[in-house]
Amino acid sequence: MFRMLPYDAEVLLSFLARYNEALWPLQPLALALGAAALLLAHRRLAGAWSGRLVALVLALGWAWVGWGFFLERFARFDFLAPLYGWAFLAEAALLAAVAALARPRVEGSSAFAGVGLALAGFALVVLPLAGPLAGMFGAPPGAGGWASAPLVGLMPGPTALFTLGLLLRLQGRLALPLALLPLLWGLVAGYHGWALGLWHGLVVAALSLVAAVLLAWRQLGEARGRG
Amino acid sequence: MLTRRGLLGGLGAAGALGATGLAPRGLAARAAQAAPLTRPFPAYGGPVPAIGMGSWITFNVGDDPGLRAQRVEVLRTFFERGGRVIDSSPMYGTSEEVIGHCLAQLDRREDAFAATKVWTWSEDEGPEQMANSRALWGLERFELMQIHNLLEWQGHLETLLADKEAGRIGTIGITTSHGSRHEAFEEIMASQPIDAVQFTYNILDREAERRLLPLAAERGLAVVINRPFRRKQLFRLFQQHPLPEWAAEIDCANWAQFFLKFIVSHPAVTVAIPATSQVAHMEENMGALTGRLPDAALRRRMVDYVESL
Ligand SMILES: NC(=O)c1ccc[n+]([C@@H]2O[C@H](COP(=O)([O-])OP(=O)(O)OC[C@H]3O[C@@H](n4cnc5c(N)ncnc54)[C@H](OP(=O)(O)O)[C@@H]3O)[C@@H](O)[C@H]2O)c1
Repeated sequence: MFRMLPYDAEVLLSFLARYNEALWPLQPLALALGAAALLLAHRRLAGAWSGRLVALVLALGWAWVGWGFFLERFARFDFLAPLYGWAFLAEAALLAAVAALARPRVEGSSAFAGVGLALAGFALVVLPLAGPLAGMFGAPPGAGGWASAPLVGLMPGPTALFTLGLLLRLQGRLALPLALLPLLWGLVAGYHGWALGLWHGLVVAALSLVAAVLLAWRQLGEARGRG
Repeated sequence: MLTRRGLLGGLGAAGALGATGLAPRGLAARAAQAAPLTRPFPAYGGPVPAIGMGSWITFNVGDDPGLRAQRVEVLRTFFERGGRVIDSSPMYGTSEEVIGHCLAQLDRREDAFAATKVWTWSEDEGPEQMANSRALWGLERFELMQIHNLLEWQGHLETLLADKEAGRIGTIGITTSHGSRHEAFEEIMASQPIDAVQFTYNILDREAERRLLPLAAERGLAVVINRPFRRKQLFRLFQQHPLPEWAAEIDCANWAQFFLKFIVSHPAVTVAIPATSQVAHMEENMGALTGRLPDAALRRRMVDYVESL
């Protein structure tokens, strides 16, 4: 089969490490923003504005990844990067529009919302740690080390999964259309993982699918409830 | 222009070409070669070494100094072992830039037979893209400029004809791979003023033997062969098996040489362009430039052998 990726795993991990290095000290800021979104999406802390703020933080992450990651930097390596970049900017615009116009509200205590919080927390904390920790315990390479650690808001995979998780905490019909591009990226990440032997991408793909199924399921339940 | 028409009736059964170009059937087959194997590249006017180098994935390493330094060594080995033809494309990320870096480090710009491609939907963007490629390689001229995957080929062909006239390029080619669009490819080969063609041919993918290779010979076109190893697949399929004993008769010390000698012993082939990121693999590949080549009977035996595994 024709492999569409014009680079190998070593080059991708080297690129991610150099990207992280160039961005320092944006990483703590990105983590703080991600953590703030997570807290805002937590039921007990959720106020009237929290849904909007969550959507805004997500929009910011998608905009940065679209521009700062794909268009500005990764486009040198991959002819498909501009396509991805514009898709990420489109998602950013959608999220910003929802924040501005649709008053998204944070969901109560459903099981869906619980899983959503767990997935978002996983993307924020576990994904960046998983590669280096696995490496420390002698696991075969396949997720990189500290230098190339993937962070929400700075790299596409964790941003997509984090978004899908938080969408499970936002009420209403808008969550499903907003989930389309994150899910698509989850699948692209899965292809990267498969083609390059990077299990990190496979994890993102699998969990993105779980989130998407849950979102669809929730929507179906709501539609039935209304019907 | 030198054409091979007439010399090459019934290519499937034809014998291999010798180191100096055209040799009568059978005679060259067992002849040892002291000098590296070269082939005439008709419109270029001179011979080129029959093993070149591709750069898809392998040279797209960006700014990483360690990876760049490794690629410099790969290219150093390539030149030291007699290689010249280097193939790239604007589609290959930072490959052209990295090749330019390596050529500058090695001070080998003059020695390269530089081949790249034009790859854009827009005819108007072609000249700018090619000027960018020249800047990236650090060259004023490409010996071969190819229209990548026939993209917007009519428009680009006009530009290339003008560029050839102006001396910005030496020869004009078209490319395809994976056996796709062979019919359209054939039509262009038969009707347009091009000098070279690039397509996939290897010991398992032999579709090109039916029409493209004979047509190229008939038209006197240079033939560049991509995916000689079907990327890594040929190694994955066969490397665990021993080489047949008779591989020594054609001076193949490893599978890479077995695969490459199969390709370059086809009388219509000019150059195969395997890609590698490793010096050791480059050594193996360039080894196919010397020693004896299989004749038609032995080529058949090579196919039978791999198909039996
Ligand atoms: N449409 C087009 O115009 C088109 C399409 C396809 C290809 N091309 C051109 O043709 C070139 C060749 O095709 P390709 O790169 O797709 O495939 P290829 O040359 O058949 O295979 C390259 C792969 O083989 C491995 N390899 C090389 N030498 C080896 C050896 N001695 N032992 C074991 N493994 C070895 C390399 O890995 P290592 O790095 O580990 O050695 C690399 O992964 C391309 O690079 C490109 O320039 C053009």
